[in-house]
Amino acid sequence: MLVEKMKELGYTDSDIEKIINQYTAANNTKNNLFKRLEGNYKMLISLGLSRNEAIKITKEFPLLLAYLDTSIEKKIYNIKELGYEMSAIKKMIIAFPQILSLDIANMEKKIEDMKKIGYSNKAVLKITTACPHVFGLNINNIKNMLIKLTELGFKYEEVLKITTKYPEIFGLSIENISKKIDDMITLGYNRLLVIKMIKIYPNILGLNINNMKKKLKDMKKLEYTNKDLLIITSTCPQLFGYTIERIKKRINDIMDLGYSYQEVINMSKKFPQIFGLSIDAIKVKKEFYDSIGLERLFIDYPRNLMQSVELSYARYMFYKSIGIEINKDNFRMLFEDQKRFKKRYNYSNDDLIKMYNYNEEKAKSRTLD
Amino acid sequence: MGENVEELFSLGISEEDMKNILEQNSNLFNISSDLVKEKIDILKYVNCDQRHIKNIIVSNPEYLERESSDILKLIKYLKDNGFTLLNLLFDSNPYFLNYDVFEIRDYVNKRIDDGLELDDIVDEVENNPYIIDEV
Repeated sequence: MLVEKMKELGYTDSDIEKIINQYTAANNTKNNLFKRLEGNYKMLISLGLSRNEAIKITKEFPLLLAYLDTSIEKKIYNIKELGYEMSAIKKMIIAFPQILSLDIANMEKKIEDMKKIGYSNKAVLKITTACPHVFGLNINNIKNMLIKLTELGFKYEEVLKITTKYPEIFGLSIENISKKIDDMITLGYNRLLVIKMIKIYPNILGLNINNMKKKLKDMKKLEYTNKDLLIITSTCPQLFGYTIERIKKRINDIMDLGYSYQEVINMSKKFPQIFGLSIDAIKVKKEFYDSIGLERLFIDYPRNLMQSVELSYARYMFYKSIGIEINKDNFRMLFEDQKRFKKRYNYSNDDLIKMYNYNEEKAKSRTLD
Repeated sequence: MGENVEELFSLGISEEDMKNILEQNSNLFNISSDLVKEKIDILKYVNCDQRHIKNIIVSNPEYLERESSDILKLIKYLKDNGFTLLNLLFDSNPYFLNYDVFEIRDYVNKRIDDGLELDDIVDEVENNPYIIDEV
Protein backbone atom coordinates (compact mmCIF):
# COMPACT_ATOMS: atom_id res chain seq x y z
CA MET A 1 0.00 0.00 0.00
CA LEU A 2 2.79 2.44 1.01
CA VAL A 3 4.87 1.40 -2.00
CA GLU A 4 1.89 1.79 -4.36
CA LYS A 5 1.08 5.24 -3.01
CA MET A 6 4.71 6.31 -3.44
CA LYS A 7 4.75 4.99 -7.00
CA GLU A 8 1.66 7.07 -7.74
CA LEU A 9 3.60 10.16 -6.71
CA GLY A 10 6.31 9.21 -9.23
CA TYR A 11 8.97 7.46 -7.16
CA THR A 12 10.80 4.49 -8.68
CA ASP A 13 11.31 1.18 -6.89
CA SER A 14 14.89 2.07 -5.97
CA ASP A 15 13.81 5.55 -4.71
CA ILE A 16 11.17 3.91 -2.57
CA GLU A 17 13.56 1.36 -1.11
CA LYS A 18 16.10 4.07 -0.26
CA ILE A 19 13.54 6.33 1.39
CA ILE A 20 11.88 3.54 3.39
CA ASN A 21 15.23 2.22 4.60
CA GLN A 22 16.52 5.63 5.67
CA TYR A 23 13.27 6.66 7.32
CA THR A 24 12.96 3.35 9.16
CA ALA A 25 16.60 3.53 10.31
CA ALA A 26 16.02 7.02 11.71
CA ASN A 27 12.57 6.41 13.20
CA ASN A 28 12.39 2.66 13.86
CA THR A 29 9.03 2.62 12.13
CA LYS A 30 7.36 3.24 8.79
CA ASN A 31 4.49 5.01 10.53
CA ASN A 32 3.71 8.44 9.17
CA LEU A 33 6.28 8.03 6.39
CA PHE A 34 3.75 8.49 3.63
CA LYS A 35 1.97 11.31 5.43
CA ARG A 36 5.28 13.17 5.81
CA LEU A 37 6.43 12.34 2.30
CA GLU A 38 3.18 13.41 0.69
CA GLY A 39 3.10 16.57 2.79
CA ASN A 40 6.67 17.51 1.83
CA TYR A 41 6.12 16.54 -1.80
CA LYS A 42 2.95 18.65 -2.10
CA MET A 43 4.58 21.56 -0.33
CA LEU A 44 7.56 21.50 -2.72
CA ILE A 45 5.20 21.32 -5.72
CA SER A 46 3.25 24.30 -4.33
CA LEU A 47 6.54 26.29 -4.35
CA GLY A 48 6.67 25.78 -8.10
CA LEU A 49 9.09 22.87 -8.21
CA SER A 50 8.43 20.19 -10.81
CA ARG A 51 7.43 16.67 -9.91
CA ASN A 52 10.92 15.41 -10.76
CA GLU A 53 12.56 18.14 -8.67
CA ALA A 54 10.35 17.33 -5.68
CA ILE A 55 11.21 13.64 -6.01
CA LYS A 56 14.93 14.43 -6.39
CA ILE A 57 14.92 16.51 -3.22
CA THR A 58 12.99 14.06 -1.07
CA LYS A 59 15.13 11.23 -2.43
CA GLU A 60 18.49 12.98 -1.94
CA PHE A 61 17.62 14.34 1.44
CA PRO A 62 15.35 11.82 3.17
CA LEU A 63 16.07 13.57 6.49
CA LEU A 64 13.59 16.14 5.21
CA LEU A 65 10.92 13.65 6.25
CA ALA A 66 11.79 14.48 9.86
CA TYR A 67 10.17 17.87 9.23
CA LEU A 68 6.51 18.64 8.92
CA ASP A 69 5.60 20.52 5.75
CA THR A 70 4.52 23.45 7.96
CA SER A 71 8.04 23.60 9.48
CA ILE A 72 9.58 23.57 6.03
CA GLU A 73 7.24 26.38 4.95
CA LYS A 74 8.34 28.41 7.95
CA LYS A 75 12.01 27.77 7.15
CA ILE A 76 11.44 28.98 3.61
CA TYR A 77 9.72 32.11 4.93
CA ASN A 78 12.72 32.74 7.21
CA ILE A 79 15.16 32.31 4.33
CA LYS A 80 13.09 34.81 2.34
CA GLU A 81 13.46 37.24 5.27
CA LEU A 82 17.24 37.03 4.79
CA GLY A 83 16.73 38.74 1.42
CA TYR A 84 16.36 35.90 -1.05
CA GLU A 85 13.78 35.92 -3.84
CA MET A 86 11.59 32.81 -4.12
CA SER A 87 13.26 31.92 -7.41
CA ALA A 88 16.64 31.91 -5.60
CA ILE A 89 15.27 29.81 -2.74
CA LYS A 90 13.92 27.25 -5.17
CA LYS A 91 17.30 27.11 -6.89
CA MET A 92 19.05 26.63 -3.55
CA ILE A 93 16.70 23.87 -2.42
CA ILE A 94 17.15 21.96 -5.66
CA ALA A 95 20.96 22.27 -5.55
CA PHE A 96 21.32 21.77 -1.80
CA PRO A 97 18.16 20.42 -0.11
CA GLN A 98 20.12 20.26 3.16
CA ILE A 99 19.62 24.03 3.34
CA LEU A 100 16.18 23.29 4.75
CA SER A 101 17.81 21.79 7.80
CA LEU A 102 20.24 24.66 8.44
CA ASP A 103 19.74 26.92 11.41
CA ILE A 104 18.55 30.36 10.28
CA ALA A 105 20.68 32.15 12.88
CA ASN A 106 23.77 30.38 11.51
CA MET A 107 22.83 31.33 7.94
CA GLU A 108 22.42 34.93 9.04
CA LYS A 109 25.81 34.84 10.74
CA LYS A 110 27.46 33.40 7.64
CA ILE A 111 26.02 36.23 5.57
CA GLU A 112 27.34 38.80 8.04
CA ASP A 113 30.75 37.11 8.20
CA MET A 114 31.04 37.18 4.43
CA LYS A 115 30.17 40.87 4.43
CA LYS A 116 32.95 41.43 6.96
CA ILE A 117 35.50 39.95 4.57
CA GLY A 118 34.47 42.36 1.84
CA TYR A 119 31.41 41.11 0.00
CA SER A 120 28.35 43.29 -0.46
CA ASN A 121 25.03 41.93 0.73
CA LYS A 122 23.90 41.37 -2.87
CA ALA A 123 27.15 39.53 -3.66
CA VAL A 124 26.62 37.19 -0.71
CA LEU A 125 23.06 36.47 -1.81
CA LYS A 126 24.30 35.82 -5.35
CA ILE A 127 27.12 33.53 -4.19
CA THR A 128 24.97 31.52 -1.81
CA THR A 129 22.15 31.20 -4.35
CA ALA A 130 24.54 29.73 -6.92
CA CYS A 131 26.45 27.72 -4.31
CA PRO A 132 24.30 27.17 -1.23
CA HIS A 133 26.84 24.69 0.12
CA VAL A 134 28.87 27.80 1.05
CA PHE A 135 26.61 27.96 4.11
CA GLY A 136 28.30 24.75 5.20
CA LEU A 137 31.83 26.17 4.84
CA ASN A 138 33.74 27.60 7.76
CA ILE A 139 34.29 31.35 7.28
CA ASN A 140 38.00 30.95 8.03
CA ASN A 141 38.25 28.43 5.20
CA ILE A 142 36.50 30.88 2.88
CA LYS A 143 38.91 33.64 3.98
CA ASN A 144 41.89 31.35 3.45
CA MET A 145 40.72 30.50 -0.03
CA LEU A 146 40.47 34.17 -0.92
CA ILE A 147 43.97 34.79 0.43
CA LYS A 148 45.36 31.82 -1.49
CA LEU A 149 43.79 33.22 -4.65
CA THR A 150 45.68 36.47 -4.09
CA GLU A 151 48.86 34.39 -3.87
CA LEU A 152 48.13 33.08 -7.36
CA GLY A 153 48.35 36.62 -8.73
CA PHE A 154 45.05 38.38 -8.11
CA LYS A 155 44.43 41.46 -6.00
CA TYR A 156 41.98 40.99 -3.13
CA GLU A 157 39.36 43.18 -4.81
CA GLU A 158 39.75 41.08 -7.96
CA VAL A 159 39.27 37.91 -5.93
CA LEU A 160 36.03 39.27 -4.46
CA LYS A 161 34.85 40.14 -7.97
CA ILE A 162 35.86 36.80 -9.51
CA THR A 163 34.20 34.77 -6.75
CA THR A 164 31.02 36.85 -7.08
CA LYS A 165 30.96 36.49 -10.85
CA TYR A 166 31.71 32.78 -10.67
CA PRO A 167 30.60 31.49 -7.25
CA GLU A 168 31.13 27.92 -8.42
CA ILE A 169 34.79 28.60 -7.66
CA PHE A 170 33.93 27.74 -4.06
CA GLY A 171 33.46 24.17 -5.23
CA LEU A 172 37.04 24.06 -6.52
CA SER A 173 40.18 23.50 -4.47
CA ILE A 174 43.09 25.91 -4.68
CA GLU A 175 45.14 23.03 -6.02
CA ASN A 176 42.64 22.58 -8.88
CA ILE A 177 42.70 26.29 -9.64
CA SER A 178 46.50 26.40 -9.56
CA LYS A 179 46.62 23.36 -11.84
CA LYS A 180 44.18 25.00 -14.26
CA ILE A 181 46.48 28.03 -14.44
CA ASP A 182 49.48 25.76 -15.10
CA ASP A 183 47.52 23.79 -17.71
CA MET A 184 46.57 27.00 -19.49
CA ILE A 185 50.24 28.03 -19.54
CA THR A 186 51.02 24.76 -21.32
CA LEU A 187 48.50 25.81 -23.99
CA GLY A 188 50.81 28.72 -24.79
CA TYR A 189 49.51 31.61 -22.66
CA ASN A 190 51.86 33.31 -20.24
CA ARG A 191 50.86 33.64 -16.59
CA LEU A 192 49.90 37.29 -16.94
CA LEU A 193 47.52 36.44 -19.78
CA VAL A 194 45.97 33.56 -17.86
CA ILE A 195 45.32 35.85 -14.88
CA LYS A 196 43.79 38.42 -17.23
CA MET A 197 41.60 35.76 -18.88
CA ILE A 198 40.33 34.56 -15.51
CA LYS A 199 39.51 38.13 -14.49
CA ILE A 200 37.50 38.65 -17.68
CA TYR A 201 35.88 35.21 -17.73
CA PRO A 202 36.28 33.38 -14.40
CA ASN A 203 34.03 30.55 -15.69
CA ILE A 204 37.14 29.38 -17.52
CA LEU A 205 38.23 27.83 -14.22
CA GLY A 206 35.36 25.36 -14.52
CA LEU A 207 36.16 24.32 -18.07
CA ASN A 208 37.87 21.02 -18.75
CA ILE A 209 41.37 21.62 -20.18
CA ASN A 210 40.84 18.92 -22.81
CA ASN A 211 37.67 20.68 -23.98
CA MET A 212 39.66 23.90 -24.18
CA LYS A 213 42.30 22.13 -26.27
CA LYS A 214 39.55 20.79 -28.52
CA LYS A 215 38.07 24.26 -28.90
CA LEU A 216 41.45 25.59 -30.01
CA LYS A 217 41.84 22.67 -32.42
CA ASP A 218 38.34 23.31 -33.85
CA MET A 219 39.04 27.01 -34.21
CA LYS A 220 42.31 26.27 -35.99
CA LYS A 221 40.21 24.56 -38.70
CA LEU A 222 38.62 27.98 -39.28
CA GLU A 223 42.02 29.12 -40.65
CA TYR A 224 43.59 30.61 -37.57
CA THR A 225 47.20 29.94 -36.63
CA ASN A 226 48.21 29.00 -33.07
CA LYS A 227 49.48 32.54 -32.56
CA ASP A 228 46.19 34.02 -33.82
CA LEU A 229 44.25 31.82 -31.42
CA LEU A 230 46.31 32.79 -28.40
CA ILE A 231 45.66 36.46 -29.16
CA ILE A 232 41.97 35.97 -29.95
CA THR A 233 41.14 33.76 -26.97
CA SER A 234 43.19 35.78 -24.48
CA THR A 235 41.33 38.91 -25.61
CA CYS A 236 37.94 37.13 -25.66
CA PRO A 237 38.22 34.17 -23.28
CA GLN A 238 34.41 33.89 -23.37
CA LEU A 239 34.92 32.12 -26.70
CA PHE A 240 35.87 29.04 -24.70
CA GLY A 241 32.29 29.04 -23.44
CA TYR A 242 30.81 29.18 -26.93
CA THR A 243 30.19 26.08 -29.02
CA ILE A 244 32.15 25.98 -32.26
CA GLU A 245 28.80 26.18 -34.07
CA ARG A 246 28.09 29.49 -32.33
CA ILE A 247 31.51 30.84 -33.33
CA LYS A 248 30.89 29.76 -36.93
CA LYS A 249 27.45 31.38 -36.82
CA ARG A 250 28.99 34.63 -35.64
CA ILE A 251 31.44 34.50 -38.55
CA ASN A 252 28.53 33.85 -40.94
CA ASP A 253 26.50 36.70 -39.43
CA ILE A 254 29.37 39.12 -40.10
CA MET A 255 29.76 37.69 -43.62
CA ASP A 256 26.05 38.41 -44.20
CA LEU A 257 26.90 42.10 -43.84
CA GLY A 258 28.83 41.79 -47.11
CA TYR A 259 32.25 40.43 -46.20
CA SER A 260 34.01 37.32 -47.49
CA TYR A 261 35.00 34.51 -45.14
CA GLN A 262 38.67 35.42 -45.39
CA GLU A 263 37.91 39.08 -44.70
CA VAL A 264 36.01 38.19 -41.53
CA ILE A 265 38.80 35.88 -40.35
CA ASN A 266 41.37 38.62 -40.95
CA MET A 267 39.20 41.22 -39.20
CA SER A 268 38.87 38.97 -36.15
CA LYS A 269 42.64 38.45 -36.02
CA LYS A 270 43.27 42.20 -35.85
CA PHE A 271 40.23 42.95 -33.65
CA PRO A 272 39.09 39.83 -31.74
CA GLN A 273 36.57 41.96 -29.86
CA ILE A 274 34.46 41.76 -33.03
CA PHE A 275 33.15 38.47 -31.67
CA GLY A 276 31.63 40.38 -28.77
CA LEU A 277 29.93 43.16 -30.73
CA SER A 278 26.30 42.98 -31.73
CA ILE A 279 25.71 42.53 -35.44
CA ASP A 280 23.42 45.55 -35.50
CA ALA A 281 26.19 47.71 -34.04
CA ILE A 282 28.60 46.60 -36.77
CA LYS A 283 25.92 47.05 -39.44
CA VAL A 284 25.14 50.65 -38.46
CA LYS A 285 28.81 51.61 -38.60
CA LYS A 286 29.40 49.74 -41.87
CA GLU A 287 26.44 51.49 -43.49
CA PHE A 288 27.83 54.88 -42.52
CA TYR A 289 31.36 54.21 -43.73
CA ASP A 290 30.05 52.63 -46.97
CA SER A 291 27.99 55.78 -47.54
CA ILE A 292 31.13 57.95 -47.41
CA GLY A 293 33.21 55.73 -49.65
CA LEU A 294 35.17 53.87 -46.97
CA GLU A 295 33.87 50.38 -47.78
CA ARG A 296 37.17 48.70 -46.98
CA LEU A 297 37.70 50.49 -43.67
CA PHE A 298 36.73 47.62 -41.40
CA ILE A 299 38.41 45.02 -43.59
CA ASP A 300 41.77 46.78 -43.46
CA TYR A 301 41.43 48.54 -40.09
CA PRO A 302 38.81 46.66 -38.06
CA ARG A 303 39.90 48.39 -34.84
CA ASN A 304 38.09 51.44 -36.18
CA LEU A 305 34.93 49.54 -35.23
CA MET A 306 35.64 50.89 -31.76
CA GLN A 307 34.61 54.43 -32.53
CA SER A 308 30.96 55.30 -32.20
CA VAL A 309 29.13 56.15 -35.40
CA GLU A 310 27.91 59.38 -33.76
CA LEU A 311 31.46 60.68 -33.39
CA SER A 312 32.56 59.51 -36.83
CA TYR A 313 29.55 61.22 -38.41
CA ALA A 314 30.14 64.43 -36.47
CA ARG A 315 33.81 64.53 -37.40
CA TYR A 316 32.99 63.79 -41.06
CA MET A 317 30.42 66.59 -41.22
CA PHE A 318 32.78 69.00 -39.47
CA TYR A 319 35.56 68.32 -41.93
CA LYS A 320 33.10 68.71 -44.79
CA SER A 321 32.05 72.10 -43.38
CA ILE A 322 35.66 73.32 -43.51
CA GLY A 323 36.20 71.97 -47.01
CA ILE A 324 37.98 68.73 -46.16
CA GLU A 325 36.53 65.70 -47.95
CA ILE A 326 37.31 62.50 -46.06
CA ASN A 327 38.55 59.71 -48.33
CA LYS A 328 40.70 56.58 -48.36
CA ASP A 329 43.88 58.65 -48.00
CA ASN A 330 42.97 60.84 -45.06
CA PHE A 331 40.33 58.77 -43.20
CA ARG A 332 42.54 58.60 -40.09
CA MET A 333 41.47 62.17 -39.39
CA LEU A 334 38.10 60.74 -38.30
CA PHE A 335 39.83 58.82 -35.52
CA GLU A 336 42.22 61.42 -34.16
CA ASP A 337 42.27 61.58 -30.38
CA GLN A 338 40.19 64.35 -28.84
CA LYS A 339 43.08 66.27 -27.32
CA ARG A 340 44.84 66.71 -30.65
CA PHE A 341 41.60 67.48 -32.50
CA LYS A 342 40.59 70.11 -29.95
CA LYS A 343 44.06 71.70 -30.05
CA ARG A 344 43.76 72.02 -33.81
CA TYR A 345 40.12 73.04 -34.20
CA ASN A 346 39.02 74.12 -30.73
CA TYR A 347 36.06 71.76 -30.61
CA SER A 348 35.61 68.84 -28.21
CA ASN A 349 33.84 65.61 -29.20
CA ASP A 350 30.90 66.80 -27.13
CA ASP A 351 30.74 70.07 -29.10
CA LEU A 352 30.86 68.24 -32.43
CA ILE A 353 28.16 65.77 -31.52
CA LYS A 354 25.88 68.62 -30.51
CA MET A 355 26.58 70.38 -33.79
CA TYR A 356 26.15 67.34 -36.01
CA ASN A 357 23.61 64.95 -34.58
CA TYR A 358 23.73 61.56 -36.27
CA ASN A 359 20.35 60.42 -34.95
CA GLU A 360 18.57 63.56 -36.12
CA GLU A 361 20.14 63.23 -39.56
CA LYS A 362 19.13 59.57 -39.75
CA ALA A 363 15.58 60.40 -38.73
CA LYS A 364 15.47 63.13 -41.40
CA SER A 365 16.66 60.80 -44.15
CA ARG A 366 14.13 58.15 -43.04
CA THR A 367 11.36 60.76 -43.38
CA LEU A 368 12.56 61.66 -46.86
CA ASP A 369 12.56 57.96 -47.83
CA MET B 1 10.28 35.53 -16.20
CA GLY B 2 7.98 36.79 -18.92
CA GLU B 3 7.89 40.44 -17.90
CA ASN B 4 11.63 40.98 -17.81
CA VAL B 5 12.01 39.41 -21.24
CA GLU B 6 9.15 41.63 -22.52
CA GLU B 7 11.10 44.62 -21.22
CA LEU B 8 13.99 43.59 -23.49
CA PHE B 9 11.81 42.79 -26.50
CA SER B 10 10.37 46.32 -26.21
CA LEU B 11 13.90 47.62 -26.97
CA GLY B 12 13.74 45.89 -30.34
CA ILE B 13 15.88 42.91 -29.39
CA SER B 14 15.20 40.05 -31.81
CA GLU B 15 14.26 36.52 -30.80
CA GLU B 16 17.63 35.27 -32.05
CA ASP B 17 19.47 37.84 -29.91
CA MET B 18 17.23 37.01 -26.96
CA LYS B 19 18.13 33.35 -27.34
CA ASN B 20 21.84 34.29 -27.25
CA ILE B 21 21.28 36.55 -24.22
CA LEU B 22 19.55 33.76 -22.30
CA GLU B 23 22.28 31.31 -23.28
CA GLN B 24 24.98 33.66 -22.00
CA ASN B 25 23.01 34.70 -18.95
CA SER B 26 20.66 31.98 -17.76
CA ASN B 27 20.32 33.97 -14.51
CA LEU B 28 18.13 36.37 -16.49
CA PHE B 29 15.35 33.93 -15.67
CA ASN B 30 15.71 35.06 -12.06
CA ILE B 31 16.13 38.80 -12.62
CA SER B 32 12.91 40.72 -12.02
CA SER B 33 11.55 43.09 -14.65
CA ASP B 34 12.05 45.96 -12.17
CA LEU B 35 15.78 45.23 -12.02
CA VAL B 36 15.99 44.99 -15.82
CA LYS B 37 14.18 48.33 -16.05
CA GLU B 38 16.57 49.79 -13.47
CA LYS B 39 19.57 48.82 -15.61
CA ILE B 40 17.94 50.29 -18.69
CA ASP B 41 17.22 53.51 -16.78
CA ILE B 42 20.88 53.80 -15.77
CA LEU B 43 21.86 53.71 -19.44
CA LYS B 44 19.23 56.33 -20.22
CA TYR B 45 20.68 58.46 -17.40
CA VAL B 46 23.98 58.64 -19.31
CA ASN B 47 22.04 59.50 -22.50
CA CYS B 48 22.12 56.12 -24.17
CA ASP B 49 19.41 55.95 -26.81
CA GLN B 50 17.45 52.81 -27.66
CA ARG B 51 20.03 51.65 -30.18
CA HIS B 52 22.85 51.98 -27.65
CA ILE B 53 20.86 50.19 -24.95
CA LYS B 54 19.96 47.34 -27.27
CA ASN B 55 23.59 47.01 -28.44
CA ILE B 56 24.92 47.03 -24.86
CA ILE B 57 22.52 44.38 -23.61
CA VAL B 58 22.86 42.12 -26.66
CA SER B 59 26.68 42.28 -26.53
CA ASN B 60 26.99 42.19 -22.74
CA PRO B 61 24.02 40.49 -21.05
CA GLU B 62 26.17 40.24 -17.90
CA TYR B 63 25.42 43.96 -17.46
CA LEU B 64 21.90 43.04 -16.34
CA GLU B 65 23.32 41.10 -13.40
CA ARG B 66 25.58 43.86 -12.18
CA GLU B 67 24.68 45.67 -9.00
CA SER B 68 23.18 49.03 -9.87
CA SER B 69 25.16 50.69 -7.08
CA ASP B 70 28.43 49.45 -8.62
CA ILE B 71 27.46 50.75 -12.06
CA LEU B 72 26.49 54.14 -10.61
CA LYS B 73 29.79 54.31 -8.70
CA LEU B 74 31.61 53.57 -11.97
CA ILE B 75 29.68 56.32 -13.77
CA LYS B 76 30.39 58.80 -10.99
CA TYR B 77 34.10 57.96 -11.00
CA LEU B 78 34.30 58.36 -14.77
CA LYS B 79 32.46 61.70 -14.70
CA ASP B 80 34.52 62.99 -11.77
CA ASN B 81 37.69 62.20 -13.68
CA GLY B 82 36.76 63.96 -16.87
CA PHE B 83 35.08 61.31 -18.98
CA THR B 84 32.27 62.71 -21.09
CA LEU B 85 29.95 61.08 -23.62
CA LEU B 86 29.63 57.94 -21.51
CA ASN B 87 26.83 56.78 -23.82
CA LEU B 88 29.33 56.55 -26.66
CA LEU B 89 31.99 54.97 -24.44
CA PHE B 90 29.63 52.19 -23.37
CA ASP B 91 28.28 51.77 -26.89
CA SER B 92 31.83 51.44 -28.23
CA ASN B 93 32.74 48.87 -25.60
CA PRO B 94 29.66 47.43 -23.88
CA TYR B 95 31.94 45.40 -21.58
CA PHE B 96 33.25 48.65 -20.07
CA LEU B 97 30.17 48.54 -17.86
CA ASN B 98 31.53 45.39 -16.21
CA TYR B 99 34.45 47.28 -14.67
CA ASP B 100 34.46 48.25 -11.04
CA VAL B 101 35.90 51.57 -9.93
CA PHE B 102 39.02 49.90 -8.54
CA GLU B 103 39.91 48.53 -11.98
CA ILE B 104 39.69 51.91 -13.69
CA ARG B 105 41.49 53.56 -10.79
CA ASP B 106 44.30 50.99 -10.98
CA TYR B 107 44.68 51.65 -14.70
CA VAL B 108 44.65 55.43 -14.22
CA ASN B 109 47.25 55.21 -11.43
CA LYS B 110 49.45 52.94 -13.51
CA ARG B 111 49.36 55.36 -16.43
CA ILE B 112 50.08 58.31 -14.11
CA ASP B 113 53.13 56.36 -12.94
CA ASP B 114 54.03 55.97 -16.62
CA GLY B 115 54.11 59.75 -16.82
CA LEU B 116 50.74 60.63 -18.35
CA GLU B 117 48.45 63.41 -17.21
CA LEU B 118 44.87 62.56 -16.32
CA ASP B 119 43.41 64.22 -19.42
CA ASP B 120 45.78 62.18 -21.61
CA ILE B 121 44.61 59.02 -19.89
CA VAL B 122 40.95 59.94 -20.40
CA ASP B 123 41.71 60.64 -24.05
CA GLU B 124 43.54 57.33 -24.40
CA VAL B 125 40.63 55.36 -22.96
CA GLU B 126 37.97 57.27 -24.90
CA ASN B 127 39.95 56.64 -28.09
CA ASN B 128 40.36 52.95 -27.31
CA PRO B 129 37.77 51.76 -24.78
CA TYR B 130 39.36 48.29 -24.81
CA ILE B 131 42.77 49.54 -23.69
CA ILE B 132 42.33 48.65 -20.02
CA ASP B 133 42.27 44.94 -20.85
CA GLU B 134 45.06 45.12 -23.41
CA VAL B 135 48.17 43.77 -21.67
